[in-house]
Amino acid sequence: MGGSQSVFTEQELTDYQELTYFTKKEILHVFKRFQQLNPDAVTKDKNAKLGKDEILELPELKVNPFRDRICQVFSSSKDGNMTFEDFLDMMSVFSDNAPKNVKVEYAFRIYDFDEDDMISSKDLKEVVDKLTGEQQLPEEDMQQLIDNIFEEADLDDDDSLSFAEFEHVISKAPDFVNSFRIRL
Amino acid sequence: MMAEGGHDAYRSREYIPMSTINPGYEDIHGYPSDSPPNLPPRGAFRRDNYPHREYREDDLEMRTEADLPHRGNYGTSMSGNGSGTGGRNWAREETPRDTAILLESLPSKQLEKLASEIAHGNSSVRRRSSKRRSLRGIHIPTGQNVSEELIQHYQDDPDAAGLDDSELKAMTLRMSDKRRIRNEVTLKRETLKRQQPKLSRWKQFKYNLSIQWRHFKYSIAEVGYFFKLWRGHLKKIEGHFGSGVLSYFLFLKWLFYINIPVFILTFGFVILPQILYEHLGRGSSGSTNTTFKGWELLTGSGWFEDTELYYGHYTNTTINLVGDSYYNMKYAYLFTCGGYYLLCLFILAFSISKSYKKNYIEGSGAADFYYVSRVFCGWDYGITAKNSAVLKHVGIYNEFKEYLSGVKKEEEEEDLSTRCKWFWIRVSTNILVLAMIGGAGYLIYYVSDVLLSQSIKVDILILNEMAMPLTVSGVNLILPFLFSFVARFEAYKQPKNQLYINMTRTMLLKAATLGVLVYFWYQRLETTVLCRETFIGQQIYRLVIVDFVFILLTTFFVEFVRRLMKENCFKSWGYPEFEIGRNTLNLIYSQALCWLGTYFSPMLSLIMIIKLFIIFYVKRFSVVMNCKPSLRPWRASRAHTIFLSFLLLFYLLTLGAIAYAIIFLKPSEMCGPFRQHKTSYEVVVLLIDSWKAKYPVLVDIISFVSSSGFIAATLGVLLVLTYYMRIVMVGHKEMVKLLRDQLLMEGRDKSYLLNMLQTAHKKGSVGVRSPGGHLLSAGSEASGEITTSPGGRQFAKTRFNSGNSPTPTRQRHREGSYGAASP
Repeated sequence: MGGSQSVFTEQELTDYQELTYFTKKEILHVFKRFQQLNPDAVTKDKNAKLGKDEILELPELKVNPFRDRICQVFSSSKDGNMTFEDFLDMMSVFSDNAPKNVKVEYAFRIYDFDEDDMISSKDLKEVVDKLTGEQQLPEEDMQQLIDNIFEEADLDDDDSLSFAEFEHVISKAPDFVNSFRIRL
Repeated sequence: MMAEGGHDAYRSREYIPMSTINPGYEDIHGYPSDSPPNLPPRGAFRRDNYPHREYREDDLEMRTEADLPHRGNYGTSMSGNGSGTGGRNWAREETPRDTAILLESLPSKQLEKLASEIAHGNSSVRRRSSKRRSLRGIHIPTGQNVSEELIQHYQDDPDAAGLDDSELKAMTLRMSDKRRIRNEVTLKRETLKRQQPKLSRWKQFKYNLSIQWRHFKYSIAEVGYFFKLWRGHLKKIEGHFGSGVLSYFLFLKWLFYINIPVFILTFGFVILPQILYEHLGRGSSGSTNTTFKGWELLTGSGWFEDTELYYGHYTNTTINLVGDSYYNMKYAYLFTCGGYYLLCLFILAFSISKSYKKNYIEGSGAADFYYVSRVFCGWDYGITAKNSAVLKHVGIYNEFKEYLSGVKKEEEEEDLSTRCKWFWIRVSTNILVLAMIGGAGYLIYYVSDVLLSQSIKVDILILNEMAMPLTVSGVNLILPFLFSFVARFEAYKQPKNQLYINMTRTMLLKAATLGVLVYFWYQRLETTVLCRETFIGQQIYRLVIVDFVFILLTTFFVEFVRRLMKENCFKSWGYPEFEIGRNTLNLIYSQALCWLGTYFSPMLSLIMIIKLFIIFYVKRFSVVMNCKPSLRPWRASRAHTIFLSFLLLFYLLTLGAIAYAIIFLKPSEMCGPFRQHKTSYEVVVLLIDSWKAKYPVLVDIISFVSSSGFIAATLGVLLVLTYYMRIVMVGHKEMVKLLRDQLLMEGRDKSYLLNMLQTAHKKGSVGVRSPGGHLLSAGSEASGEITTSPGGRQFAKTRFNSGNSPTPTRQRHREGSYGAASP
């Protein structure tokens, strides 16, 4: 961490501290992890944009079934490639200090596969498929599961979850904060 | 305004299927709603494709197909969801675009528009209040680029108080956007500040104070970074096993942190003065002429007997080391004891209330949100190991399969005889369990008694002294396995219930063993032992050490040896799994022992710290080397609350035991700080009496506060408050339920009305004006018709001019809408 101290000016660190949920030391630690993904490019230019496959080498993301969506959501250029700032943003949202509503907002975006601001049954199907991994639930079970979910969460009966409905349900789930967290 | 050309243009595309209003819509068979081929593709309704979204009358030419209301959610109003389609019936039909435009003009949609326009700083909307509207909680829809509007919003703010720190962090935007917003706002604020007259002194002071406070918080956070003990280890465990196993280690770390201030308190106020007194002062300790042999570490007697380890060693004098200051050891001992118990009480109460609030109150509806939490909170983002991820996938798949098959199965209606049978089975197993606990208690009592009266003397080395702790630990080890064996006969429907029942029984056993021991010590030791407290301290010390040894041994055998055997001999066995419940309960028991013993043996908290430290490393290496992640999910947060409540229960029990000892028991004559007093509590009484001369007011206050009337009144008030809160909670729950039903009904109402509108349209007999005064459907003249709704109300359609009024009027009220006439 001593080496990367010289990469950022004090002003930049203060900036990042104000804009994210990290302290200065944590920001430097995040930078170190970022640098490990592609040491040459990042040492040359700290604002280098790393490709999606390089980002996905991060151990926490490598096994995550939603890794593509995560990269997509946090990438500022919307193509999956991330700069250090995007990476810092992502880690800040997943950190312990981020409040629940921020996490809920990003969780909604991650699970909204087609980016239409609603989680429709197609989105849900994708989510469940990604969750079960190699084995896929049969069609009938999937439909039953989606129906159950809509029965629980869809308040106005329109077959998809809007953000308000999603937030209403998820903020009540006690395990959400524990599971939606990446420690660095 | 509908120009004729425009009219023809959309006539050809008259029916707009649902998917254009709801891009995510698919009907029940999973097919996307069939759309005419020339519809814009999905995603064309994103707001950044279109320059503006306000409702402006003169721009109707722009309102092409693609300009239909985007189905996003702008504000926090839930009732404006989508285009208010209720239910699948509605969705399957096709809606004409007029209806769609009418939908746009619904009051609830207007509310959404208002919220979104405020969020995006549109200056055409008059602000209702001068207070700055907080942006927190306003959802920024996917794909929107709202930074411009946000900057505008903040800059227009008359208050110019600047961005709140937490608000900036909570904005869900890209970092570059956030930075830009902050810079622009700060810039604007600076210019404003220069233009305005100097801020008043008070405001400047407040402003500086807030900046100082913010810097202070940051520096505290920096320092706190150093105290992340064991961070790398915890991360490794989380990566392999997920948050369930991690919760055990976090609990261990938390207990470790609690014991540190307890030890510092006792060391600073009790142990250190005693040491100084012995070595520097005029007092002399008892002779320690016994040599140190190794096994004393186990028994705590012998060389240890007359050291600071035990109560008996402490002096009862008033130490006078430096000049004129006096240090009264009695007060120090007693008040330190009270002090650390109070400290632990505060920490425990605070933790448990925080945990309860998080998991039970906020999650109280979560019992209903079963599937949602399984799906959306199902994946543990902390997992980093590949095989753990694979196992997690399998676990999730199994869970879904299991619960879905449970849903399909019919709920078996249990008739009276089966229920009776299960009832009697459960009663008998509970009686069996209680009998086992009773037997264990009696055994422990018998062993202690025998050892005390020395009626049976065993000559094997230290078995004499260690027999009691060995019995206790053995009982605590074997009986829980018997309990889970017995519980299998009870066949609880949910595995969760079985787990909780097992845990309760285990804790009952441990509490019973401790209770029997405490009873024995308090009742039987008066005549036989010289220094009772030291004896009790020794017993507890032995219990702690034996408990520690047993934990190490069970870890070794259950995890390490089993893995070796699985790999080399019994290939069909499964890998060992880390048992979170059993291990956490052991930790709670150890901590209870520590709390019980610290009064009799002040250095016990140091021993506890060392013990926890070693256990952490042993468990951590054992779990990573030997165990495999479990397939069954572990609901960490609910379990955490339950473990905390067990801990609190044990704390209260130990507190009761110690309070009884202090208040009612006669301290030993020959040792300890309270010799020659009737009870230890007498010291306090004497102290208060001594104040009678000097501070009579204080004495009066104290006697008033401790009078039974006052205490009863306080308790009564607290009970009433608790009852009130509970009533309020029940009321809120009912309210939530009512509102949910109401919401559903509103959705259905809307769909019903739109249906009616639909049918009216199809008849083509009505021209309906939108709020802007535009005629929505060209058609023949309206005729006056009266339709009757199923509810019996009559709707009269009124007449307008037909079709093609060229000039839009600026009327804002709804012209020509249906008027309802009551029957």
